[in-house]
Amino acid sequence: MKSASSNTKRFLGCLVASVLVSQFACLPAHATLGEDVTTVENDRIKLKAQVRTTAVAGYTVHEIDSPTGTTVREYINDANKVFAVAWTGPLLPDFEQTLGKYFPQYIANASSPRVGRRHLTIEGTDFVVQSNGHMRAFYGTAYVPSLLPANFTAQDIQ
Amino acid sequence: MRANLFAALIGMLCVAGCGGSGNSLGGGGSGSGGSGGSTGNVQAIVVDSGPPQVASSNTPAINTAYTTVTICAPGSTTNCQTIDHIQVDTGSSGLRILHDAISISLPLQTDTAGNVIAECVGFVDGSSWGPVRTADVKISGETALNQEVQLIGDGAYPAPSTCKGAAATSTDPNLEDDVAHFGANGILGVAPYVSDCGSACLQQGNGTYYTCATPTTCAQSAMAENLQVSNPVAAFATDNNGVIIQLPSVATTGVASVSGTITFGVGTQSNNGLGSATAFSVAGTGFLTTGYKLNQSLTQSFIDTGSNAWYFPDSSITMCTTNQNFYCPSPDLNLQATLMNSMSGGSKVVNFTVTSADALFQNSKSVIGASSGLAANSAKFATGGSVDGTKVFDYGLPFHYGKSVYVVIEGKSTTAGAGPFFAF
Repeated sequence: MKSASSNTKRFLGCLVASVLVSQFACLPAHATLGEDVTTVENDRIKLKAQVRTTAVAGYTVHEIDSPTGTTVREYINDANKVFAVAWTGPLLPDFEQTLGKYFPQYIANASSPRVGRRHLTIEGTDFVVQSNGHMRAFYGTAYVPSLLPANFTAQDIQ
Repeated sequence: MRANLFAALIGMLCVAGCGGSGNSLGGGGSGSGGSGGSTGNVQAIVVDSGPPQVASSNTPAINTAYTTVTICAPGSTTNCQTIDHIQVDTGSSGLRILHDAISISLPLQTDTAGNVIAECVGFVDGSSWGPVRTADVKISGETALNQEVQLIGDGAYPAPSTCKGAAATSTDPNLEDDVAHFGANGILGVAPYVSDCGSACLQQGNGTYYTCATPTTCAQSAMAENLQVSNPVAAFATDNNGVIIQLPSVATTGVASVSGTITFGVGTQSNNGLGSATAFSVAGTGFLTTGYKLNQSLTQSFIDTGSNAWYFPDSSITMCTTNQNFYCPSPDLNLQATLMNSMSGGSKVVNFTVTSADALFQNSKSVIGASSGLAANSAKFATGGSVDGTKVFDYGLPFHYGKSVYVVIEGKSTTAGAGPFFAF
């Protein structure tokens, strides 16, 4: 809440930047699970994506709309760590960027026996990812159980 | 708003590209022989344990619908190959063939600068990489000329490191670049869209399309929709507004195999009318909404022949001990889902039965069955102390047993309205 006005300015700045650069630098939005919130700022600058911020008791949500139409939401706890990410849109996000140090766990387990191409659940070491969907319509969430704020459940990640 | 913009973009592209393509199709199209078991606008489908490399593996195909497709080098009637066990997928667009299933040579597709086009196509469980080639595609009596076809696992074009899950390392467990790992000789994407990626790939850095100055120097690139791998049905000379998937009812205990049909065109012939089917639009986000138990609204729902089970979140159903994520109720459970917001303003109830997946997989170890009862959880969040963190309800292939399911392509018209929509 306390940073609402600076976030608004940030959002407007991004909006302008997004319009200015959209013809030649439309990169997908990134978020890095388990890292400091500063990675969000790095990504925002690098990607010129639109960012909307919502502060809730105990955590903050950054919503990043990439030019490809995929939206990534980052959940940030009071210690400024990204404890969860959620994505929805026509393309999958760049998982190496989005999952950061958890990406090796993802890539090692991404082939679920018998489940096929549309669904993926990984319960790794302090890392859970759920990914669903098909071309043009993907949806998924990932989170770090040890970083979840008090009274927050995986159900709250949307 | 996004949908309107999307429609506008499609419209603009069609002014530039689709008209020309349509003209060339108008000049040809007929006269090609269909493969065995097909006539006119109807092609056989089989649900079985897959091509030999898959059927004999530890994980033979389950609830996977296959058909047969003939491809020819563009303009040729002799340099052709008929390939069976091509998966029928209403959750993707375009024809993709595994390198070890093809024996003819097809020309590479290039962009306006002469660079070869390649694609890293994203599936939830990994990506498939390969260059785009062109072919005439023949299914039943229908022909689509000069189509972009992805050749997956083409050794001449190794996957770049940026194509995650398809990296060319032998230790990558997610590499689906041959028939055995992909589970089919190819995949025929007949989703209700024309191109596979659509307007999202008009953007740079979309992570999907690449252009290659040499086979080992491929860089991410924006890609015009008329150069994207696309649903060949939309390019048929006739019967090009969609498909009907028809499969018979199947006992919940499963059977060894089952036969059905894919019919081309919706309301274009005497054999493909919509009848009383209820239509559900997938314009906009691409998702449908399902009502399921206790007023749950599952807003990331989809109908998909490319899914091998019902996938939905329900923490009250016993999970399997052997086949993780699948449901293992005992006795069988009779359930109900309601698809909401039909194009005519109503909803439609779907009744289905869930059977123990552990028992089904055991029954089917050597001869794989098509089981209407197979179901899995789309949201298993045990670690977080919570469940049902997703709103996904996937009406997979078992949903299609005993039904005619219509898939109408974006921008194409029918008596029920314009696509993109599913109807049943």
